[in-house]
Formats: sequence, structure tokens, C-alpha cells
Amino acid sequence: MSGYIKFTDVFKTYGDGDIQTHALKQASFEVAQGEFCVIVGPSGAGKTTILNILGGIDKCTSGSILVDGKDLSKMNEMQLTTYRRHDVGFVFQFYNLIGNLTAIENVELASEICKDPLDPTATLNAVELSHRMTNFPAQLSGGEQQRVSIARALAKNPKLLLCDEPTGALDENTGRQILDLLQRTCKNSGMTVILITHNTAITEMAERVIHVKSGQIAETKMNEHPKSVDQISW
Amino acid sequence: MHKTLFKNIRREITSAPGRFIAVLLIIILGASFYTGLRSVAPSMKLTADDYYVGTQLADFRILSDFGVTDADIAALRERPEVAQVMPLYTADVLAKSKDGIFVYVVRSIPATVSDETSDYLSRLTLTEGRMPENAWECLADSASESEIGDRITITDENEADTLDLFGETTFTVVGIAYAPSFISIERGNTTIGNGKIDYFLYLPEASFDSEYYIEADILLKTARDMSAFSDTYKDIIAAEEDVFEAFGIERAEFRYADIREDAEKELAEGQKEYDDAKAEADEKLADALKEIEEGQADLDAGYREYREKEKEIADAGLQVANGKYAVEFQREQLTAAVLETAAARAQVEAKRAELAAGHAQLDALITAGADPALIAALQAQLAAGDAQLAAADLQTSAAEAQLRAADAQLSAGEGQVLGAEQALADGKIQLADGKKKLDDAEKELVDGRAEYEDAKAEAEKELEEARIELEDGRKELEELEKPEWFVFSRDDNPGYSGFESDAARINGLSMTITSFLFLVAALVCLTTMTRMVEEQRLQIGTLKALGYRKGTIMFKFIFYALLIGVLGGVIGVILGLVVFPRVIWNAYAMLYTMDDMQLAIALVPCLIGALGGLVATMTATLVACGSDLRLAAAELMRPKAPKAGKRVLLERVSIIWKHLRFSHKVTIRNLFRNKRRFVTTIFGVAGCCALLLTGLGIRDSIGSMVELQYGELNHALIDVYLDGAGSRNDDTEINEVLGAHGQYAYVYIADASASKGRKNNNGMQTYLYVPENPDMLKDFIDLRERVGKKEIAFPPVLPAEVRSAAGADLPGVVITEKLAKQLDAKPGDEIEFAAITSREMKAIVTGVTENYIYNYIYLTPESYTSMFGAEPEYTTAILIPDKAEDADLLAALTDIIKTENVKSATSTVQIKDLLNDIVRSLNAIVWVIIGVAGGLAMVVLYNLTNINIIERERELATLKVLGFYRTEVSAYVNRESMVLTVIGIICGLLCGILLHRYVMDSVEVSEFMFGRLIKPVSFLYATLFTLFCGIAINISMHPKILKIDPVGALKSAE
Repeated sequence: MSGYIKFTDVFKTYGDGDIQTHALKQASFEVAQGEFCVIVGPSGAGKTTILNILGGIDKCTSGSILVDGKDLSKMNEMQLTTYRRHDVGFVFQFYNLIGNLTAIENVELASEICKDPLDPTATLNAVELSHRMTNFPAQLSGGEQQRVSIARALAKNPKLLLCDEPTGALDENTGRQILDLLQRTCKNSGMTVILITHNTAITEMAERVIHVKSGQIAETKMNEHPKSVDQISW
Repeated sequence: MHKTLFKNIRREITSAPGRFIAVLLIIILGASFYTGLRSVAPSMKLTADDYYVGTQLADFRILSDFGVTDADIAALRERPEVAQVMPLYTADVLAKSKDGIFVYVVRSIPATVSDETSDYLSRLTLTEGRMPENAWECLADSASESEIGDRITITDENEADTLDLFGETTFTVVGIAYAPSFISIERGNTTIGNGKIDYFLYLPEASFDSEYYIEADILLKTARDMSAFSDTYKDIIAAEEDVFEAFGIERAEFRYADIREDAEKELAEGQKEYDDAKAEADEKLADALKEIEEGQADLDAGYREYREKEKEIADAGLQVANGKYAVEFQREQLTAAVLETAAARAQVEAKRAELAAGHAQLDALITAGADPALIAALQAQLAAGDAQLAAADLQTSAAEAQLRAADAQLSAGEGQVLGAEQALADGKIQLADGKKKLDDAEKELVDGRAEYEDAKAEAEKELEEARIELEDGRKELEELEKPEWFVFSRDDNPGYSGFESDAARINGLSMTITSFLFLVAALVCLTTMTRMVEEQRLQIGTLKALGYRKGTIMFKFIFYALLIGVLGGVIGVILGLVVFPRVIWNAYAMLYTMDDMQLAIALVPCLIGALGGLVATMTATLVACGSDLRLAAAELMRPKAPKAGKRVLLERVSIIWKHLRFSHKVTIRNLFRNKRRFVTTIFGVAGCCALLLTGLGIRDSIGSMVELQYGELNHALIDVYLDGAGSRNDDTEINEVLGAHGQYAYVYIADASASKGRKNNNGMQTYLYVPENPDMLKDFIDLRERVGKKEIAFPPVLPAEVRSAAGADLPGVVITEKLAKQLDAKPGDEIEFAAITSREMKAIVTGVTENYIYNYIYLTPESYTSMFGAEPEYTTAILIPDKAEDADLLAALTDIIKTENVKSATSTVQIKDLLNDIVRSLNAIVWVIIGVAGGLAMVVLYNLTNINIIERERELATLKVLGFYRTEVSAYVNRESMVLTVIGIICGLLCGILLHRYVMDSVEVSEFMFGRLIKPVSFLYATLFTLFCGIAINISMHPKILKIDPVGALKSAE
């Protein structure tokens, strides 16, 4: 199923004229449907840029990005919004929950707007938060907030789950739980999960690992036997 | 101070200019509004004062009913406090200009006007042309349509006394001017035309022809260059007014003596003239009578003679008739005798013939020879017969002779009779002639007598008239009142006192609204600064950790606030001074004519205006900084624990809550999460809405007064003031004129002052209102309670509990609502009131009636009589006109004023005009309020939305990442401000009703009770305008929301 997501010669350039900064230089890679993919690289390597472009919240300067046959680079603002609305689930490093909505409401926030949502309650059950459903984010721990955030992303029943350093703001144990949840989700629902991190340890649990360095794809590596979260350590 | 800190502050401003500007604007708004409106009254007063001083506006105008003489003027000039006296002629006249016939108040300009020190007061300001130099030139009113070169002619309709005053009647306009005596477009009232003066007209003294002046204008030394609005000036004027009135009485003695002397002389002359005339008339009549009587005597003698002659002629006639009869009898006898004689003759002749025959026969016999005896016998016989015949013949002839003599005699007699008859006929003709002559003479005499009677009657009548005139003159002299001086201060100038109250009204308005604006400014500041401090929490912590002291860290915020406070204050004060007085002055320029406005920069309002903003920003900053700065650096370095979401009450109603969309839920929770912001925004929006409603409501309320008073309460739209009482019932003319225009009744209206208890000794100005026929009052005026519209009984009915109490014998009165409010009196209360010259009387209030214009105490004639010991004089007629259009009213007025014994008449049109002027002048203020309200709403909503967007940038970015469309994202933010706008509007409308009441209370003048009505359409306008502000802000913020980059969602919080 290779080619579900296909980056071809993607450039992302900031600034113009003489001083140009290339966030991405001729980046090309592919991800198959249902894969658990980890994009890894040091800070400033361009992995967030890849995620932004893939998530439809940023546009590339040139090149093409195919997601399930649709070329994001050719979409306008409106089409990108629709794409985000229906096809992408986002998990943020800082959870980005709406403080004034309860956990379930935060999930509903996403499910309300898309075509074929999952049941918010079921989703929260799935992330083992049924008992915290009516709590406000401020009443939840970081891990719990991140799980709400994941539930919110999952509830949209997206084709693509994009995770931006989901464990970055969490302690190791909580981080493990989150990664475990993501891995299981990927396995169980067949959702394509792309996770960016600077933590190379996490690569071991991915099916596909893409190394990014200075805006270029340094290496794409397939793990025949991805490890489960409790098998890895950092 | 640290350079970096200043840099920091500069960046603070440039990085979020919206916030800086929003706070700055609200401070400017408050400061400018306060300073501006506060400066209006001083500026208006300064302008007026400069104008009054510059034009030497007379402090007093003295008019006398017998004119002002040169001696009076000289006496006035000698008074120590008097600086200048200007004598002048004045009259109200009807005059024709090219635009029609108008009522003008004509005043004279002194002969010398160029000299600075000359006695030329209340100086005119020419806008065009030149001063009049000749008797046939004039200055026209700048408010009139007259132009230079126009001709104005005083019409013949004016009263003779008025016309006598003028040497010229047609004038050419040589200049257009405005005058300090007539600052208002109202030119005052009069007793001619339709009762309202249209324009003024200034003529040179030379245009007048009168022995004495009509008026003396006075400028006081003691009040020179003094502000006309100062208490000192008012005190001086109040004191001097009495002084001049007293002086007037003194002067009146002289004038009285003069007039009396003149009048006595005149009377004496009149008496002499009368006496002479009477003597002459008597003599002439006596002569005439004598002549007539002589004529009568002659006539009588004539008649006597005539009757004698008539008798004579009658006697003669009788004699003639007798004579004639005798003659005729004799003739008859004679004729019979003639016939007899003729018969005798015939016998004689027959015998003769017989004898002749015998003779013939004898002869024949003789011849024949017959017997001679026989012949002899025959001869003898014949001889005897002859003898006999001869005797008879003789006899007959004698008779015939006798007859002829008798005939002759008779013929003479007949002739005599004929002559006598002729003579008689002549005599008769003569007599008839004599009779005719006599009859003519008699007729002449009768005519003469009639003529005499007429002449006598006429002479008597004339004399009687003269006598009555003399008598009247004598009586008049006996009753001659001392001439009175009418002393008018500037307050009596039309529109003069209105100017001050107009200025004061704005002051009252500005206080309320400005305090409110500053409050909102402080709140806006507070929310902004709080947000700012929150945003910089990390920075504060860092600075603290770096070792900056609290004061230094705070300095940044304080400086920021100081900058806004000072900048806003200064800009606001300057802007306020430049904009508001000018705008409002321009509005008043429609009502008042004066020199150009002079801006009065009063220190206190400026300082308060500037400091008010500063205090608001500083207080807000200190409050906002206070809590955070106390925290330890480490704590500050950590992001502030996000404020926990809170459940709101609505969530308990799960049926509703479950059906709400998340975005609505967010909105509702957000609304209640930040109370400061909630309150600030509600305040601002509600303030905007309330201000609008107040502004619009002021116009509604004042506008509605006339409608309520004259549309619902008063049916009598015309008041007619009569010259004297007593004449009213006999004066059929007045009654006819009034009857021709509608239904009328007579009332007594008198100035009075009312008070209640001991607490207000000053007394409220009011009118006593005594209807001649109390039962009919309700036909003319509805007495009813405003709330509930319950009718109030008149004649007053004392409440049962009062009747049984001690004051049972006090009369009941109905009073008007405003008076009740001023006195704090309600039905059943005891109030006191006094007519101008009487002592205080007590009465019980039985009802408080809805009334808007002027204050009245209604009482019955019986009550009045029992209180004041005199019958009321019904000198006012109130009239319900058949036709109530303005034009009809004015036409009716013109008609009524012409009637004799009508002193003056007014209609509601005049009051309507006055109120419309007030409404018009308030229009400018309303516009200012609308501007300020709009600004307020905009700033507050901008500030809220701005903070909301900045604060939720991350939230909004997240929503964008989640795939919300632009409009959905905008709605997410706007919904909140719209809900607040709607809540604000609801609060605002409620507050507006209260604010409107409060403002109406503070701008109300004592003779009016402004309505409290706000028209529904004003509610609508206020709502729509506020909504418009909200929507406008939302639309203007849309680009800012669009600009939020979804990528921002990935960044860490701070």
C-alpha cells in the first residue's frame, strides 16, 4: 500500500530575495496507509514543517504532496480547511484543549464538524477517560489532557493522525502511556499515524522511520518488527 | 532610568497599537467630553459678557405710562450710581415691508452714536450698511428678510396715539444690525397684531415727534464691566431695581404735579369755554324764541282780522241774497203785472176790433139803410162802447206806464244786486288770499318752532356732552393716579434669562454623562492592564529574577498608564475645548444672535478632565499590577495555572444545555469566566445605549409636552386678557367676538407664591386660577392624575379624614404636578400660598393634576373670596377655538386683540415656538451624545474583542487546525461580543430610562414639567445604533481573526 502519502521534491522556503532560508529542500518520502510512521530529527531540521504541510496548515513553496490521491499543494485555503476538517486528526505537544469546555465537550468540538465522526463518549472510553469525561482541562493531568487531545483527534475518524511531539510535555511514564495508546490505535483502527519527535528512542516502535536533517530527508527506514512501548526506554 | 526599559515600553505600544489606542481613545473621550461640555457654559457666558460690556447693554430700562421728561432724565443722570442714561422713543407698531405686514418694536437711536462716551447704550452691531442719518432712514433686524434699500411703512391701522408719536411713517433701510437687547430670536410679546413681536426696527430720534421720551435706559457705574451672570451683579441689580422703583415714585410726584396742573388749567379753560358756549347758546335760543313768539302774535292778530272780515262778508252775502231775493220777487210780480196788463191790452184791442166791426156793420146798415133806431140804438151803443173803450185804453195805458216805471225801477234794483254780488265775490277772494297768507305764516311759524326745538335740543345735547366731558375730566383729575415707573432689568429682555438657563442646562447634562464615561474608562483600563500584566507574567518573573526591584518593574506599566493618561488627558482637553463649545454654540446660534463665540478656558474643568483620565488609568494599573507583583519570581516564571472552566447555572438545565452547540457553550462559559471584562463591556454598551436613549428621549419628552398639555389636558388654547373687570358681562362686543371663535369662559389668574410648612420660605412661583363657573372648568381643562388618568373632582372635595380633622374649615385646592413635586405636597396636605400683595393663606390639597406648562393652584370663587376677602376679578377669558390649527389661532388672536377692552391675548402657538426652540437647541447636544455614545460602544467593544482575540489566539489557531472555516472561527469570537451587546442593550435601555429621568430632572426649568415620555421609536433607534456599533466592530475585527496562523497552535504557551 505504498504511496498513500507521497512527498515529492517539496521545498519550503522562508524569506525572499538574497536571504532565503530553506526549511525543506527537495524532501521526498512516502508513507503507506495504516502505517505508524515516526519522523525524527534534531530541532530545526524541518520535521515540524513537514507536519504542518501534511496537516494542511502550511503550504509548500514547490513540490507536490499527495494524500490519498489528493494534491495538497494545489489546494486553496478553503479546500485545505475542508481537508483538515475531515481527513486529519491533530495531536498537539501542548494539547491545545479549549479551557472552557469539558473533556467530552472538547471531543464533541471536533466530532460535531466532521462527516463521519465516532461517538465522543466511546472515544473517551477508548482512551480510558470515561471517568473524567465532564472535567475541565484544568482539572486534568497532563497525560489525561493529552489523551483528551488524542480522543478529540480520533473522534473525527480521520484518515491521518498527526502527532506533534505528543510526549514532549509529559514525563516518561505518562509519555509511554500516550505512545502505547497511539500505537494501539494505529493497529486497531488502521489509521495512518505520523508522529514527529526528536527522541530517537521512539523510532523503535515505528513501522517506518524518516530521518530529517537540515530540511532534507536523510534516511527512510522500515522496521520489520516494531517494538512495543514497554520494550523501549529513553 | 534604564534604557532597555524604555525600549521595552515603546515596543509594548508598537506591538499592540490597538490596545494602546483603545484605552487612549476612551480617555480622550471622557476628558474631551467633560472639558468640552464644562467649557460650554463658561464660553457662552464669556461671549455674552463680552458682548454685553462691549455694546454697553443697559442694566435697566425705565418706562413710564406718562412718558419720561427731560427733567426725569436729568434727575437720573445726577444719581451717583448711574453712569449713563439714554432717553429714547419706543413703540410697538404694525408696519408693512416688502414681505408683508409685521409687528415691529421700534426704538430710537440717539443723535450722536459715534462718540465712545456718548449716551448710547445697548449699541447695535451693523452687519451691513450704515447707521441712519436722516429721519426717513432706519436699521432693520438681521433676523428679518429686509435688505438695504427696502422701504418699511407704518400702517394706518395703528392707534392714533402711536401714530402721533412719529414724524415720519415710511423709512428706507440703510443698515442691517443685531442688538444686545434682542439676543434671542424671540422678540417679545405685545398688545397689538397677533400679540407677538416679529422684528425690531431702529430709527433715528429725528423720526419721532413727541414732547417727551418713552423710555430711559440706564447703565450703572456700580455694575460696570461686571459679569452679568455673577451673583454680585444680580444682587446689585435686585437692590437697584427697588431703588429705581422708589426713585420713580419720587419723580412721579413732579410729573404728577405737572400733569395735574396742566389738567386743571385745561379743565378751567374747558369750563370757561363751556360757560361761554352755554351763554351764547342760551342767548341765541332766547332770541329765536322771541322772534317766534312775535310771529305768533302777528299771526293771531291776522287770524282775528280774517275772521272779522269773514263775518262781514258773510253778512254782506246775506244782505245781497235778501236784496236779490226781493228783486227777483218784484220781477216776478212785475212779470205777472206785465202779463196782466198785456191781457188787458188784448181785451182792449179785442174790444177795439169789436167796436170797429160794429162801426163797420153800422156803416153797412146805414148804407144799407137799416132801421135808424136801430141804427141810432146801434149808434148809441157804439158810442157807449167807444167811451168805455177809451176809458179802458186809458186805464191800460196808465197801467202800462206804471209797469214801465216799475220795470225801470226794478232793473236798477237788479243792477244794484248784481253789483253787490260782484263786490261780495271780490271780498271772498280777498279773504281766501288772506287766509292762505295766514296759513303760510302759521306753517312757517310751526317750522320755526320745530327748528327752534331742534336747535335747542342740539345745543342742550352739545352742552351736556361738554358738561359730561368736563365732568369726566374733573373726575379723571380726581382719580388721576400718580405716574408709575416700570423698571425693567435685563432679565426682562426677551430671551435674556433663557440664555443663562440654556447654558446651565448643558452643565447639568455634562456632569452625569462624564462621570459615567470616566467610570467606563477606568474599567476598560483595568481590563486592559490586567491582560497586559498577565501577558507579561513571565517577563515580570524574569525581571524579578534578574534583580529588578518591584518599583522598577511596575514602572513600565505605570509609565504606560501615565502615558495614556497624560496623552489622553491633554488630547482630550484640547479636543474637547476645540470641538464641543463650538458645536453647541453653533446650535444655539439658531436661537441667539451675538458676537462670535469666545472660548473660555476655565482651569478647573480642564484639570479635572485631564486628571480624571489619569486617575482612571493609574488606579486601574495599580489594581492590575498589585496581585501579580507580590508573587515570587519563580512562581511568575511558571505559566499561570489556566483558569479553571466553570459551570454556569444554565448547565443545570440539561435539556437546554445538551442542545446547545459547543461554541454556544464556550460563549456562555466565557461570558461568565471574566467578570471584569463582562462588566466593562456591559457598562460600555449599556452606557452607549442609555446615552442614546437619553439623548433621543430628551427631545421626545420636551416635544411631547405641548402635545400632552394642549392636545389632551388644555382645551382652551387662547387666553384673552381684558382691560378691566366688570365690563365683561356688559361688554357685548367682547362676548360676541369670543363667541364667534369658539366656546369661552372667564377666569381669574393671579401671580402667587406657594409653600408648604416652614421648610421652604422662599415660596414657589405659581398662579392662582379661579374659574368664574367652577362646574364648567372641566370643559376647558382636564384635571386628572398622570398615573392612572383618574379624574380629579372640581370644585375640590376634601378627603373625609381631613374634613373630620381640625383643618376642616380650610378650603380645598387642586394643584399641578410640578408644584406638588416642588412643594413635596400630596393630596390631604396643607399648603400655604399668597397672592402678590396678600398675606399667606392655608388650604388643603385635594388633588394633584397632570400638567406640564406653568404651575397653577385651582380654587373656587367662594374659596378665593373667603380667603382674600374680595371677589376675584375675572379679567381673563379662556377660549376653546373652533379651529385649532396654528394659523387659525393666530388669525383668531389678531381678530380678538383688535377688540376694545382687550389688553392682550396669547395662544399656545407662542409657547409651542418657545419649546420648539428649546428642542432645537438640544438637538446639537443630542448629536454630541450620539457621537460620544457611538465612540464609547466602539471603543469598549473593540477593546473586548481585541483582548479576546489576543488571549485566544492559540485557541483560535487550534480551531483552525481542527478544520473550522473562517466564518465559524469569527462567529466563535463575535458571538460573545454580540451576546454582550444584546445584554448591554437590554441593560442600557433600562438604565436609559433612569438616566433620562435623571437628566430631565436636572435640565428641567421650574415653570415646566417636562414629559417623561420616550417614544418607542427612540428605543428602536438606540437599539439599532448600538447593534450597529457591535456589528461594525465585529466586521472590522474579522481580518485580524483571519490573520491568525494555525501554525501558532503548535507553539508552546509563551
